Amino acid sequence: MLKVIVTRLMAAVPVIIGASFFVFAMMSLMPGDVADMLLDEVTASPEQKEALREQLGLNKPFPIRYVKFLSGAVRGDLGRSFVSNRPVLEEVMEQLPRTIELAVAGMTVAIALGMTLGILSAIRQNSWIDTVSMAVAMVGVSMPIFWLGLLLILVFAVNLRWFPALGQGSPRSLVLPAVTLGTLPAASIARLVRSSMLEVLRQEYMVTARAKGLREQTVIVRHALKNALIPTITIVGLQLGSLLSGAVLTETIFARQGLGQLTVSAIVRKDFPLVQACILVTSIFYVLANLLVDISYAWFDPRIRYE
Amino acid sequence: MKHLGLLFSLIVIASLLAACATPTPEVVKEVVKETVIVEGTPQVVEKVVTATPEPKGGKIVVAIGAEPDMLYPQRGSSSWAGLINATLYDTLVYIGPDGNFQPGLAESWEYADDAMTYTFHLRKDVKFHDGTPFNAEAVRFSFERVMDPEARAWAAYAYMEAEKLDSVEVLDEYTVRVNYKEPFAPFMTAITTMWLAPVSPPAVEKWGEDFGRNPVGTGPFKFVEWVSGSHVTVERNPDYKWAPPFIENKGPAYLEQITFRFITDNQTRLAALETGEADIIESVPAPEVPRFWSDPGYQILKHIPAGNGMILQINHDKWPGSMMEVRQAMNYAVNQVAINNILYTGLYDPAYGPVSPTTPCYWKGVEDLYPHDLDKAKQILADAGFKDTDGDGIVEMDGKPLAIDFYWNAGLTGWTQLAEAVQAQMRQAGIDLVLYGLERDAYFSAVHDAKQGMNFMWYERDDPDILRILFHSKGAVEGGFNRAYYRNAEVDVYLDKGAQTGDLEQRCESYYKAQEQIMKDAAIVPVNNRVVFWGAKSSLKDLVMPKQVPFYHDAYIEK
Repeated sequence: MLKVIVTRLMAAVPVIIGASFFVFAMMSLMPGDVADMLLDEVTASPEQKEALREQLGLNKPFPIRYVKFLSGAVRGDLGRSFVSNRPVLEEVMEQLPRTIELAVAGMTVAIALGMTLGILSAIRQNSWIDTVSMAVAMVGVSMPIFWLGLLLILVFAVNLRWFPALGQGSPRSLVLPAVTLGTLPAASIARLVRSSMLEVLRQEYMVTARAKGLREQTVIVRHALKNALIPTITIVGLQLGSLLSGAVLTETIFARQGLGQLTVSAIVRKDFPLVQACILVTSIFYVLANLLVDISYAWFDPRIRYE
Repeated sequence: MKHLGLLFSLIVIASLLAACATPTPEVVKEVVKETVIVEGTPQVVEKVVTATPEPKGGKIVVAIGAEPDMLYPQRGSSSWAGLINATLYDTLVYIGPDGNFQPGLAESWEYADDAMTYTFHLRKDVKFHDGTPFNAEAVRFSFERVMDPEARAWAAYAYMEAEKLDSVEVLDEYTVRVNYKEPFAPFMTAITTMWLAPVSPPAVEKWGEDFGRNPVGTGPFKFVEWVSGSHVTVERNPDYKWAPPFIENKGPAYLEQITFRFITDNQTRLAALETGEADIIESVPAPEVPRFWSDPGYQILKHIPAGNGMILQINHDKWPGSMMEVRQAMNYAVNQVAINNILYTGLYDPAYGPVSPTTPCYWKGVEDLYPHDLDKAKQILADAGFKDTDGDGIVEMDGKPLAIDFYWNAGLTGWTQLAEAVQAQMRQAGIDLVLYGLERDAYFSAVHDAKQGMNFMWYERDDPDILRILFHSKGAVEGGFNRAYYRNAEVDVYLDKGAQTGDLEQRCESYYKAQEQIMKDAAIVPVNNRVVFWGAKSSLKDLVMPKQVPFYHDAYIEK
């Protein structure tokens, strides 16, 4: 098991380096000039803009800038933000607690809701429960997050006053953002769990389990569900990675801190060092999420244990 | 009769208590009549008691539309930095609600007509939040730092056109003189902006690059914390002993604390005001204003910023915008009042000239130059040789349709609607506007390469010198702001003169002529002047808003 983890981590390094290079290249190719952007609201002269470009090292050719970035990164210095002038690593780290909080809360909602709907539909296939659950799942997958978030604010915050409109500051303020964020993954999970369960329920060992006289609940949970979860875990892992790095719409609507809104605003402001730092952290999250998925496979399915 | 004695004692004691009240906050005496049954007798007496109600105070949440870049006023160029800086810093001079210069940290000032030398006599009773005395040396330090490329003080540098600055002299402890190499009249306006607010020299030395996250000024509030992506908190400065003339409270602020919360989404910001999570919010969209206006639980504060509102710059270097007839026809075809009524429920201000009515030296004559007249527009085009030969509603000349490439930054809320409204109006005169609503970076790229046939321009500034930045031929270069590429030597002379004359009346003479000529040349098509709306709870009293930012010196929450 340990060997698996170490191998995976080592394989992650080229992935992360590759991602950072790709992003660096993309940012350099994007239209728009950093100096124009930073000095947008001020009537700065062309000379001043040129001076800013010099100062930020933007006039140097691409390979030199990239090497400079890498050599700094290896020493732990990812540079300072063009906009706020703070060390970018500090800026990213500040956003992590709230990001993780929302991702975990969102995932909890997604798993709870998704699994419940999926299991129910599968064991009561073609009944009204099945139809309704799948309809709910379809609506969930189709609903734009922005619209859902604003709708929840309107109904539950402004009209009913059950929860605050702003998604940060107390445990209650986490509810609406978590529901907003968790709805889409919940829908995917529901459909996936349902189809995996249906497949598993047709297997011969299910007949055996029932023949052995086990309670239906044990049959479902210990035998069916455990096997059905393997494809689900893959999806959950990927979704977790994406929730950790990009819940920008939810964060914007609920005025929450988070890595998503930081990344987007850095890209929009062409704050190269900050974008690099955000992408670096995002890549690490995805790698960890994938690692978690692989380990869970091994835990769930004894057949998938590497030597 | 003995009750009279009791009554008298009560009044005396109450008065003494009121007189000995702590410097903060102000205690307002109220006289209350109580009906009391006197003990032991069947008498009912009316007793007059002086009651001391709760002192003014409160903690408020201000919801703003974006996070500032930094709180170092000379550099932080975003308008949101300005909002917060208004609580942390003071300026030497203020523009009051009446539009005139009023004393701030400078009690008085002089400058000659040559607009090259400015002398300020500073207040002697002010300290920075870290205890450093405020004096001429601090002003010299703050201004000279603008010249230091390390400080990257872009905003201040641009506003005071620091390349023209010669020196800042300390004449004595509380007198400072600013010397320019050439006349620069807009300096007086520059000094009223947050960009030239004095900062504490020891604090800048101490924090260096990080001063922007640890601001130290002289303002009525002190910095407490900045949580990235969430909020900035400031608290009352107990040592604040004065205020500009338009503020009543000449002492520490009543509010204990202000939290500036960043809420980018308009709808969420409005929701926060409705749920009470915010006490005051900025940028209430015009269509939402009426329901808050008519609700007694809320108040709306409004202001028309100076400078230019939404105007259309027509590129003079590209056909057909290069033809004066086309531009004049556009001015007759546009219907500013209709746009205001349909898009902004009549709440914005139709614009007829290059600057808004609140700009000093605004020339009222622009309002009569181009009344909305569709027939006249069509006539002008016909006389110039345009005819609709193929019946598609758009006129042509020599087979070329009258089409102008209209570029704008589609990332800004509401501009696309405005562009489409203008397009519809122009079509009625036979003019085709080809719409290019681009994402911000792509827009700036296109404009940099002068691809546009026309574009929106919107630049707020408190000084009519904005006309020079937008219409002087020197600005008609790559990276300049004269994106209409308008070049009129006569107007150049007026604009230069306006920037170089100290006397305001004489400056206005130049600017009136400039505005007249710019509009006669139909260099631009004005559409509307933006109106800034802030929404707040009615319980937040005594907000003062001389310009587009509220001041909180007098404010308090009424219970």
